[in-house]
Amino acid sequence: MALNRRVEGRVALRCAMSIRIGLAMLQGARHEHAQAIAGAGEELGVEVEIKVLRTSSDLDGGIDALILPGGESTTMRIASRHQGLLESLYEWMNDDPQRPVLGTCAGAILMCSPPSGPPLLDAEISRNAWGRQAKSFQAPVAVFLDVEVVPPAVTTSVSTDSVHHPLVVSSDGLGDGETFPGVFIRAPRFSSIGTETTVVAEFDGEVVGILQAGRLALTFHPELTSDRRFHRWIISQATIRAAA
Amino acid sequence: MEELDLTELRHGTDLIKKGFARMQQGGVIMDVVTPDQAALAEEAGATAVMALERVPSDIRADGGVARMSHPELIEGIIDCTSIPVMAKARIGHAEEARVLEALGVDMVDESEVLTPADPFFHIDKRKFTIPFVCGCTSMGEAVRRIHEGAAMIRTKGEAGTGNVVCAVQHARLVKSEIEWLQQADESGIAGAIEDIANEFYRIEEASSLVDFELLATPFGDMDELSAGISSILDDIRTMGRLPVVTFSAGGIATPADAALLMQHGMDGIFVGSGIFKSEDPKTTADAIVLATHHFDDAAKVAEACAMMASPMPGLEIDDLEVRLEERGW
Repeated sequence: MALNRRVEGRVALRCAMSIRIGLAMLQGARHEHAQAIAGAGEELGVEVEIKVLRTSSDLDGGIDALILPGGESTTMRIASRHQGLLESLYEWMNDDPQRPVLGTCAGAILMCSPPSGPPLLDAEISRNAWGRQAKSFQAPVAVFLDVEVVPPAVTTSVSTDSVHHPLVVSSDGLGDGETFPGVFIRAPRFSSIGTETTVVAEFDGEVVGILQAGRLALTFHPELTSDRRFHRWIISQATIRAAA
Repeated sequence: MEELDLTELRHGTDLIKKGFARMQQGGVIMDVVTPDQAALAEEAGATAVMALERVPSDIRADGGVARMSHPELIEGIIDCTSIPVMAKARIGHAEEARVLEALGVDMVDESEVLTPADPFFHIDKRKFTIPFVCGCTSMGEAVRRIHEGAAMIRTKGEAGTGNVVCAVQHARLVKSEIEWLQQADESGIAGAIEDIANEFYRIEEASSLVDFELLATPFGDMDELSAGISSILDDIRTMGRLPVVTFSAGGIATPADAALLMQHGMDGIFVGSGIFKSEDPKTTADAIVLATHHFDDAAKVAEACAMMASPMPGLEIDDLEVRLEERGW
């Protein structure tokens, strides 16, 4: 797929500002996404700032795209109880369906079944639907998603918080054209997919990733591999929107 | 980290086991002894529950041999909760761990809170499909457990005391040893590898044969141990932290305790007796989750502290008859 193509040599769009990617810090594999975004930004030559979102006021400065990481979706709903972060994130997403959002595993659950209000994706999802941890697995996933052109820029800056060193993710060479290393951990499954969605990832004939407008939901964990294609995708989407 | 095999479906790989632990980051894992307590923990925002028959403070008070919990109790808790369920096996008791895996437990805690079953070797955790968490008091101990296949580490602290001093001691020692390792020269690193590996040979001291030498441990001979340990130390030097998710455990009783250990760089918190031995478990559970999520925000931690009724009663470490942290090595 074109997703894996290198972008050098293409006509560059130049934008003055850096791209701000909001990272919901509710709970779970957040530092892994921060690292993946940093790596993807470097691969693309785009200046990316990660905006850590802990309370709703953290959204005040504005963000260009949003990542909803994996973890425990029930914990995330409850973690948000005291400061309304989730409500603000749903509001941000609902304001414009084209706003780029990447939700992985628990993030996909939060998009498909919000505690209140309409689903953000035309799909139904079941939690832990492959079984308990013994049934968690890794397997190749077929990916159908284009990475658009992105502008060159300066550097990537990442800070999550002062006391937590990031766990370094595997640096093995991964990715093989159309396949993506799928890591499924107590993963959810789509129980139905509506006509509004486009399938972007399949495993063994089953849909494991969907796209609707700017919203991308995956039931697996690209942030646990060194294949940055999905993170390059969200940076690209945000960059194109910021330049428009 | 192992290379991903893209050609086939695989369960129980290092990546899947350590990935499970990564999903727990920023979370609170709570000890529960009944399905009702598990429901309360889930409602409070726990990322997982530890299913067991008695919380550590009761195990401490009761004395005697503490073993794996009854399968019916564990199954009852598995059936009523949607978050991951962990359970404890005795140190070195691979058969208890196998039973827990067969029951559908998501992660085994090879725990010093239970009475150790093997004085020489911990469980070979590489042979299991489900991941393990193990306790440590120092960096070397953590490295041994990671070499044996642990996917997650927790400080031992001193369980069942409501006294956070040992958890802080272990967090500080691990951090200081890592800082030393990062600036150590070649001979310093070689010495550390030897010191860490030698602990696998404790069985030699038990023999009355003067010339007895252990030919190989379950985790390799001296060359293999050294190579494995050296590779883990390389990862630690690069990352400036343990290369697996690291939680704090053992004595955390208040929201401020939880925030303190998060400030020490821990990835999350285990609370054993601290919740259900407090005056108002539901509020304690809510408050500790709140403080763990917002450890960096003193106003939020204060809000969490203000929610609390009385925490569990605490014990002075010097007055303890049994020091659980000394179990395992």
